[in-house]
Amino acid sequence: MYEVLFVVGLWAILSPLVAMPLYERLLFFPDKSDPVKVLGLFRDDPRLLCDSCEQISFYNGPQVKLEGLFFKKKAATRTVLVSHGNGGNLGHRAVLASALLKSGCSVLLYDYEGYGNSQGTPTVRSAVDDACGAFDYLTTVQNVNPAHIVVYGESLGAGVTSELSRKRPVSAMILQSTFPALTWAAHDRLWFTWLYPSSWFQELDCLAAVRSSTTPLLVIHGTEDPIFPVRYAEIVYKQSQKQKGRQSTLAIIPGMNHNLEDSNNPGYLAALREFLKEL
Amino acid sequence: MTDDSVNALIRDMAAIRLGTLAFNLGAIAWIALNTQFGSGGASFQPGCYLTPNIVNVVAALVLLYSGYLACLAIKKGSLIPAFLTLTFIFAMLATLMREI
Repeated sequence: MYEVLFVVGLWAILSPLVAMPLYERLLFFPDKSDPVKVLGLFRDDPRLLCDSCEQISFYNGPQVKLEGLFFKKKAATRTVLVSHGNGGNLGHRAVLASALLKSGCSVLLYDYEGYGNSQGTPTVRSAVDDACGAFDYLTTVQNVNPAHIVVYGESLGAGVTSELSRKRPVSAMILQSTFPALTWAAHDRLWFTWLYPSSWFQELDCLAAVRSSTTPLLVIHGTEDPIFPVRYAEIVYKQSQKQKGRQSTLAIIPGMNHNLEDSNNPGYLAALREFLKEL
Repeated sequence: MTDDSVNALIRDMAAIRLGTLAFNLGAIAWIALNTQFGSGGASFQPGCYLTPNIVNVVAALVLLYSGYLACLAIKKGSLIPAFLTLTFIFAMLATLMREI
């Protein structure tokens, strides 16, 4: 009897309904250091590739102040809104920002709640609100036409970007080092999460997002990604192909890691430029 | 004549020892099941057994055997380690069903 109670108790304590804050601690690794200082540590400084770099701030849904950097190119016809992965802060995305600037776009990098100089504490729900806040900032404060906004998600940010695409009228979506859904990643990493219904988790569902929209999609994945396997990208891509008439591309980049480490990666840049050209 | 086969050894084992054996075997098999061998050596890649290598196949069989031991342990009255072992098997089957 004691053993049965122990097993049931353990199951209940680890349930997402009870332990979601614990799971979110395992999910988010924010770096509170100043992103601008971090940016300066990289050889690939995106500030050298744009016409102006503006430190911006905006509010998300629950009115938490967030910060970001807007790299503007006068000749750019597209603006890429980047939702970064779960580690570090926007300063660590210098290489990514440089690569996007090299492809001819303006770039908005922002930090989720609790990252860099942004206030608050990161949660799955707040990350989606943060992305919506950044999108609204672009359309209302910077007067960028939504039809010119390409949303870009890297790793965890791919899930955030997918959810954003369901809430805002984005013109195109790029998912780098993506996963099918947060519960898929949870099931694969923490085997015991199979013991709970998926509906108990706060979800970032890339599959549902690509299934329910016709937004042009580029899925980029590195062959050397040690975090998420290439099959994750293939699953998302296959799902997106079920929408007839949709522009959907899968780019498997040889030698690329989970994060972009070289802004001159030829395979990456070629895939990006080709996709943007076809929009 | 005494029966000294593995089955007899398991049959005679105390419930808690059998449960612990099942869990240890299951945990090792679970790690091997999720181990991938690439150019950079071995790495823990959850779910890699969907495109299995020989180690993954052997590990899956060992995991199923540990499940059998876990069921015996439950029958004998030891629940906690046996239950944990069965969660590995459940996770493996659920992952296979999800993607196949």
